[in-house]
Amino acid sequence: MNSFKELSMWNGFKKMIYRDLLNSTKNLSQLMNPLLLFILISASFPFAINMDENQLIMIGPGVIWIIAILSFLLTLNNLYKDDMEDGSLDYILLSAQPLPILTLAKIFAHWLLSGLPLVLLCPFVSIFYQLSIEVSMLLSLTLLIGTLALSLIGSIGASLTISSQNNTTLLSLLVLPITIPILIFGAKTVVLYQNGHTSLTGLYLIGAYCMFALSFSPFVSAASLRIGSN
Amino acid sequence: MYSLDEASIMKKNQLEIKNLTLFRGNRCLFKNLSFAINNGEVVIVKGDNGSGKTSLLRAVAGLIEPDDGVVYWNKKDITNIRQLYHQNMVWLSHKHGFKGQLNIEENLYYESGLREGFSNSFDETFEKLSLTNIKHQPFNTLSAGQKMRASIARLILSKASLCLLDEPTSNLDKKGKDYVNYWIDYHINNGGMCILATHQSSPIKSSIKEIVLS
Repeated sequence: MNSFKELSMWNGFKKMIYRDLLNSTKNLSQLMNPLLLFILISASFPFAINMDENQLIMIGPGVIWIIAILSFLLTLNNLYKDDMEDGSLDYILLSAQPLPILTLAKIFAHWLLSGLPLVLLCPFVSIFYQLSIEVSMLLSLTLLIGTLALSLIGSIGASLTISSQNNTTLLSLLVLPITIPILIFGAKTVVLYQNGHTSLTGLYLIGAYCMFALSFSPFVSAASLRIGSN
Repeated sequence: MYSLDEASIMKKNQLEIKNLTLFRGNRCLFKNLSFAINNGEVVIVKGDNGSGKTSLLRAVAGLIEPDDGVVYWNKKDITNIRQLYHQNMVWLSHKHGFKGQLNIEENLYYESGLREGFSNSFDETFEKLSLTNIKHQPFNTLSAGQKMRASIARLILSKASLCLLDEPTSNLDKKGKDYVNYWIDYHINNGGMCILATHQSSPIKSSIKEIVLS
């Protein structure tokens, strides 16, 4: 019986991800807009400022991190809003699955659709800043962990603001201060590595931040979704 | 926590609402509302728009927390046995809760992950509800009647015994209404129970109780 129950929770988790991925393949523009914004701003930045190669290499990681975070914030609003509008959030709240499992699935699906593409685009964008392959790989790695932490933290903000209209600004105000540590550690790790220091300390710190967020985010999101549907 | 047997529609179940009170802002929608419902019974909630029919249904479903009072499922407070209760309950409303870009089959496949014992006999059910021809069309492109039939497929496949219906016939024609009423009767005759909110007179034969909200 016990193993059967675990299997069924996994079943709910899997099908939630399946639905969100399938649904977003039918809404490609919603998926592509933040990514295009990420590429366009990153690409035009070096043209606008007059800098030599060394300076560009030094500011590159920080700039890419900021643009990644801002374009990522744009996607957070859709995390629960769509489900709220078409009524399928009611069915999620009324399911026989534990709600934190389903919110975790939604967070993971959101990361697969919004975070992972940023990570994959990162080496390409690094070319504009003339970053070496090692540096751009490290930058991708910090973004990989960092965006996962952002999805987890952002889910709390998104679930808290579902019942308010025009919540994009409120959501950004709510989430941005909590994302600052990720930005600092993420960008600083790469800069330290460029200056010949170890990158492990920074990676451990964002990793710990991510694990910390993982430990409570699904539960807090689930609780605030219940309150929000009131 | 529960087994498939417990979720079965055949088992004797009882839903009891005790002293339910709900406020929206400063307005009292209903006060000390009590009723019970057993297998094979229908409760019809009537009232004008804004009288609190949907809020009552949402409170019974456990979607909103009432200001006072408790909902009991088989003598247990539903806030303590949420998963078991939701396993036995299905919610149908005019907001269907299907993803508009996905087709009926994809939507129901996803929904089978939300509860245990969700039937795999999709094709059989589509045949029964004459949805076979449209099962690959995006949900958005369906007509109101077809959307309601897709929602009924959810009721049949979930094998839940308690069915909460929020204005199921609000934008359907005569034929669509008869169709919905036929399936409600079918559900009741199979030992299920229903709470139905409507502002129209409902010709459901097996109707037992009526609650009028004002």
